[in-house]
Formats: sequence, structure tokens, C-alpha cells
Amino acid sequence: MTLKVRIIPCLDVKDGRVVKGVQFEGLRDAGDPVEQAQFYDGEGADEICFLDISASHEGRGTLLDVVRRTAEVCFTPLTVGGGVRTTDDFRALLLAGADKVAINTSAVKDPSLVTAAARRFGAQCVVVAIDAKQTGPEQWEIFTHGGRNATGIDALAFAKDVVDRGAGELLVTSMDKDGTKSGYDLALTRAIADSVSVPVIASGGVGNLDDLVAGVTQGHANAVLAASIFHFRTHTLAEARAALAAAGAKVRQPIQGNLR
Amino acid sequence: MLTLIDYGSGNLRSAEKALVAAGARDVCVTADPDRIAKADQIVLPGVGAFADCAANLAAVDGLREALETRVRGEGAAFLGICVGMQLLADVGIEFGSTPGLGWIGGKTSVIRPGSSELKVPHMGWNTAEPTKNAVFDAAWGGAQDVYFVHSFAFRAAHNPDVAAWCTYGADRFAAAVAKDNIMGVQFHPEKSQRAGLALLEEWLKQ
Repeated sequence: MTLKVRIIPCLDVKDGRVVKGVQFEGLRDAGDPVEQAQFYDGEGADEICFLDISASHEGRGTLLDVVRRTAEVCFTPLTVGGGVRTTDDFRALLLAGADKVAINTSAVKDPSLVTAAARRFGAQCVVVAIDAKQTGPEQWEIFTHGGRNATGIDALAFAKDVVDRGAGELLVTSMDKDGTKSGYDLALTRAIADSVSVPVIASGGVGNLDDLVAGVTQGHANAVLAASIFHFRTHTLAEARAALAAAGAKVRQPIQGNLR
Repeated sequence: MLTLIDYGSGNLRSAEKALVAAGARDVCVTADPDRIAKADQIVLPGVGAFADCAANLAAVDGLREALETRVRGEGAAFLGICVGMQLLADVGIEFGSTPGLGWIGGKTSVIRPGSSELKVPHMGWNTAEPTKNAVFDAAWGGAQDVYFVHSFAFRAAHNPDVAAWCTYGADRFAAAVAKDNIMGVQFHPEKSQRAGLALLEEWLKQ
């Protein structure tokens, strides 16, 4: 028995609504992140991730309400990211029911936030989201603001630094691959996973089940995150589990034995 | 009445919602020693560092004494979750050593899976293998995968106090401890979907 590879559906939320419209049958309101989270909870998602892309202050207020309502009906670990700037932002999300909080731009601007949050809430709830683009062979640069702003910072060096500062997990997204459905940037994922002591989530580019498998077998990720293949029902979570298991990865069976 | 102890160290909302979903009626979220003195069931959550949680517990006037009286003296059912479970130990060894409640013999120490490929924190779903325990038997009837997030683990002084084991690489530690009316779980039942809710349901029934 050992730790299982986690499969994490990710929902982009803007002003309290899911964007990149999801087409589940049977949902009363397909744009409601709470209903979608509940659906994935029922399918046995290992964790659920909300990334808030609201630009406005009002939009962010709505996110807290979404997290609160999700925590009432979902008994799945929940990571929430987007627009987090201070330890008080962390606290508000954790109190609302998030288990982990992801920071991206703020960690680049002010890496001391990582340390402050880890001291106050524990490293286990501090996820640093690393958005990187390839700039040369085995070389990647950190981008912020949803991939728009280059920083000149080396991704691998940054990853090691934030782990030293107390990050409990890294969410590694390839900005070259995100949205392409051509698979994770496996070299990037592996380079980071092999050089840090904390778990790494692979993100960006999943188009099929083989991509999830490669994230683990070749990218050395501890968890695989995907959005559209689950949202559009290209594949179910059960199919993803089966594909990973067939490749020799340890996955969770949501219910075993005589648990009803 | 069930009291969920609010001492500034836990994911109270998730624990409260899960207890209600598992059938708890009349959940009171409080740190008031007078309320704890009347509670039939007491849940102590805990997230973060052992020393911080122990300090927060000590910081509430009369809380420690109320717990001692109600749980150890009068036998109210007690459930500690994550660091709330670790606080049952005699001592926590985590950046120095900090005394715990000492209700179940043992100490906490860092997880050593013994391979650089196995990351710490031990974060995610792993198997809890129950020993002989009525609550686990009734809830699961075998092993289940549940959600863990921790870097330190409970090392029980007496193996019979371990209600479930977890193995991570070369390390093997208590996924749950139990003694008389006192139980603690290292994993998060409030985040372990049906396996977690089933366990809470049986704990509430006993």
C-alpha cells in the first residue's frame, strides 16, 4: 500500500461562474461551480481545483461564496487559487472551506509571502503555481498574470527557492502546452519533480488519457490535473484511473470491500 | 450535544459539514469550557504545526481542564483529527519538543519514507488498514483509501492503541489510535468522501 497518484479536475471560475462552459447532462445549472464540484466529488475525484480568473474585487467576493457552498456539499480536498495576495486572503479562503491555497503572481513578486503563509497555516496548505515557458533546451522561464508577463526568472531555480521557503506543493503549468491538448511539457515537469522534495502536480495540455499516464511515468508527477477532457466528458475519472492503473501507477479505488 | 472545538487551529467548516452529513444533530462550534463540560461527544480538529496547535489549546482559559474532566474523568466520546489526533500523544517532536495531552502513550516524529522519490508531506490518498476496532469494523469492514496531509506521524508506545495502520515507503505509522472513549485519526474523514463519512457515522453512533 502506498500513496496513490491523484487525479484532479480543475475548474476555471470567473465572477462565480465556470468558464469554458461544461456540458454535463443532468445538471440544473451547468455554469455553477458548486454543482460541477459535486459531480466530480461523486465520481471520486482525488482533489478538486478552482482557479479564479475574476478581474474585479466583486468577482473575488463571489469566489468565497462559491467555496463556502462547495464545502457544504463536497467532501473532497479543495485547492483554490487566483488573485491571492496576502496571508489574510489565505485565511479567508481556508475559513470558507478551502484545504489548500495556490499562489502564483504574488509568490513571484514577494516570495516572503510563501514563508509567512507556511508559518501561519502550515506548509501543507501552501501551493505555489508555477507558470513556465520554454526558453532553451532544458530551460524554462516563469511567467505571471496568466502567462502574459515574462519575469526573467529561471523556473527550476524558482521552484527550489519556494520549496526552501515553505511551499508544500507545486502546481507546474506549461504555458506552451496549456490549451493545446498535445500533452504536458514532460521535460519541465520531470526537471522540477526530480529536484524538489515536495509533491508536484502536472498541468497544462492534456488531450487524452495517455497524456495523464505520461505525466506520471515520464514527468514523475505525483498528481495530474486536467480540465477539458473531463469537462467535455471525453473521458470519465474512472477511465483515467483505469489508464493509470494499466500503466502500473497506483490509483485509488473510491470504494472498497463492503463499504456501501 | 456534540462540540467541535474552535481553538483557531482547524478547518472547522469542513469538519462541521461532514459531521452533519454523517448524522450529527446539534453541533456546537465552541471553545467555551462550560459548553465542553456538558458535551456528550467532542471533536478536536487541528491543522498546521503541533506546537502551534498545542499553544492555541493552552491559550484558551480552562479549556484543557474542561477536556480532562469531561473526557478522561467522565468518559465523553472524543475524536481528534490530524494534529488533533497527534495532540493525544505525550510529546510532539517537531522543531523542538512540545508536550501533548498525554492521553495515549507515544510521540510524534517526522515521516521517513526512505526514498527521495517519496515526497514529504505525505499528501494524498493512502490506505488505512484497521486492526481490531469496533468503529472501523462497522464502518468499513476492511481497509479503505483515505486522505492524508501531514509531515509528522504518531508513534504509539503500545501497539494495541493503534486502531489502523498506514504504510508509506519504509515508514509505517498510526492512521488511527483508540483507547476506551478516545479516538484519533491522522487522515481527514471530512475530506475522504464516502469512506470518511461512513467512519464519522459509526463514531457518532457508538
